[in-house]
Amino acid sequence: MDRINKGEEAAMSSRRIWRRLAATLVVSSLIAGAPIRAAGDASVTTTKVHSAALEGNLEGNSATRDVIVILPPSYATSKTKRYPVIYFLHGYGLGSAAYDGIIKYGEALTGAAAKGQEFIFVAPDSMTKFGGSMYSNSVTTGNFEGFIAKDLVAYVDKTYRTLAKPAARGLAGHSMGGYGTLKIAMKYPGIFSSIYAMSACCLSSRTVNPATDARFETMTADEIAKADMSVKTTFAAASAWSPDPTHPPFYLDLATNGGKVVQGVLNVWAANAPNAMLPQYVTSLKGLTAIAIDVGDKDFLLQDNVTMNDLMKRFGIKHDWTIYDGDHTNRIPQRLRENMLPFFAAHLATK
Amino acid sequence: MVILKTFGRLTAGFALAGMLSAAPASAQPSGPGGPAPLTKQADNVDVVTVHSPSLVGNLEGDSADIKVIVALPPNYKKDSKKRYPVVYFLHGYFFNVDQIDGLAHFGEAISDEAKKGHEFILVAPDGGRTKWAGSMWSSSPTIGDWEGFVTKDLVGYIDKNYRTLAKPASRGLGGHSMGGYGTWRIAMKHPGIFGAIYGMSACCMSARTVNAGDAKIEKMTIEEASKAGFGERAAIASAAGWSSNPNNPPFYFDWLTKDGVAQPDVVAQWAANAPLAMLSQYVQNLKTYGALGIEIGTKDGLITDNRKLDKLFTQYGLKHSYQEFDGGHAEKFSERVRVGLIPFFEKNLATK
Repeated sequence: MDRINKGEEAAMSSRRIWRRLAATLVVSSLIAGAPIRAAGDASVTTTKVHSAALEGNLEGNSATRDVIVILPPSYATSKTKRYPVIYFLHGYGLGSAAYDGIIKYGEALTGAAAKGQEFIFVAPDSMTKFGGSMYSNSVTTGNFEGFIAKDLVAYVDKTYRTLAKPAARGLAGHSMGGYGTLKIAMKYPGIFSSIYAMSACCLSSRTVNPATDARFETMTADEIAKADMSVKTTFAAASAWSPDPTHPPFYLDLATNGGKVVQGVLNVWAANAPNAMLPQYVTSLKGLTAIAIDVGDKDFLLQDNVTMNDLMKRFGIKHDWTIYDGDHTNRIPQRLRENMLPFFAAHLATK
Repeated sequence: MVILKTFGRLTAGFALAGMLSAAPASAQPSGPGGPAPLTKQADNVDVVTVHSPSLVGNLEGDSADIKVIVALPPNYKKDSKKRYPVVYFLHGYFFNVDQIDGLAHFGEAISDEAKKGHEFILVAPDGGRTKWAGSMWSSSPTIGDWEGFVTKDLVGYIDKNYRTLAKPASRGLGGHSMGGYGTWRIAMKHPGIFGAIYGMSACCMSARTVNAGDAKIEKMTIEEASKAGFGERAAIASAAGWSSNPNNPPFYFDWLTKDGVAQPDVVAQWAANAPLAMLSQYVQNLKTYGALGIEIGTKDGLITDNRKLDKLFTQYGLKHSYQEFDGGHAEKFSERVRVGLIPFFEKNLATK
């Protein structure tokens, strides 16, 4: 046992992390129950946005996405006023409506408006066949980067009275959404000016343990549907990062083949890991007005976020960094109100 | 003969190692060498210096003023209204642009094509006068943002100072070896600048793992590193491009090993710079190009990686041309510019 190598250890911890992530998210979902529409002054609507970037994806994920849009209280009466926009990306396993049920976006935005902080808040849904897009660009899941950074932003600017400029656009997200926030900020400079990653997942390169993961190779769709979340997240990650149009029925490559590790797939996963991508995107990140990362001290993703913080410090990328008393999910509604919204109020242009 | 010999060694370096490990130092050139620059530049060639804000402040202290060879159609100065397509060419590792021009004779190639009725401008920037003899055309605080130099500063300068057809459909990007690598990397990451892409004998396509030679490089001083052979110095140039660390002087990068032990985080950063690993997230970007072309010699040690690229393009439904020619890594370079690169862009760039 003491001869266990570092890679295996990392793989094991990676799988443990995903199991716990899955468990906590599911628990949160049960506690929260059915989505509850916020009451109050901010108006909450769910609209549908068609995304050209998502058309033709091999999983058959809808290219028309549900998007929750919260308009600030003064929107209806101040007919010429334009507002900054916060885009908020949900985490893995629960869609935008379920996140709204837990966080209650409308209530949060009403509270901010009462303090004079008015935004348009846009929360797109990115659920896919395997429970989450990873906000990545894949022929199998669809180009969710393009959906967020281009199609969604264009739709919102066209449809609502936004301040249609980077200085007034913020991007944030939780867990898988925190991952998407950092990745999109790196790859699409000049769209958003401030970003806030909450408990970001998937920052380090994903690993594999053939002893336990080789069984995924022969799983059917039914078996995956009934399997635990750690199996589903593997398929979600593979469909987002290692798509393979020539490999039906799932159109993805797993990191084992015939029980042997496929290094090429692990390399592709590394190329999607923000902690590995960061050195070549320093220019993009330095171009941002403000960056915030936070994570709970009991979050199983703490170490990955510590590494991201270290990397940003190393490269002189100015950012706010907070470790708070909490786990992966229990403080998210509170942090969104007390930290994230004030962060954007401080940094987004209001005219 | 000197040229052939040098390129032979270069080929051997790639063939043996794919830029991974080092051949015995005695078999390597003692420093950047290779073909001699032209003693007299052709009349239709401007040699200019382009200041690049993207490269300012790089930690190696490399110049942000880049020498650029601009080969113009011979009638450029007579016909004062006509606008031309532009081919941007990125050269390979270990040589500077003057040496590459000494081999390719860009001015002559452009004149010859103009006589056949194919008029265009060829722009070849220097990417070889960095501390480790090659920029990898990558982006890092250690070497500067060479992607930004090519896609913004250089294209901006050329469109401002020459009568170009200033639109993507009339801009081509091509390169050889390290330049072929840069070509694919930039094509993936920066869509909407160029309209057609041509990679010649591209290097550095695969992610690599740590090998025995790496622990030896770890122990090198700056002085030893600057005298190291081709393979070793290519690896050092790669680290400067791909695993930058401003807090780690005097090299300002993290190496693949620490006390001889492989560093997975650094290996992952290198993987994130390997086009074969990057490609799956850039399929939509690559689909925006009018044409993609790959060429590789059958005796080139890099053929396996380029076959993989061809296979991946096919797998993802990316329309492209793929040619294997009888040859090694570089000895037919000048000919390939004329029979591979130039005809590809003549076919695929808009001329008005």
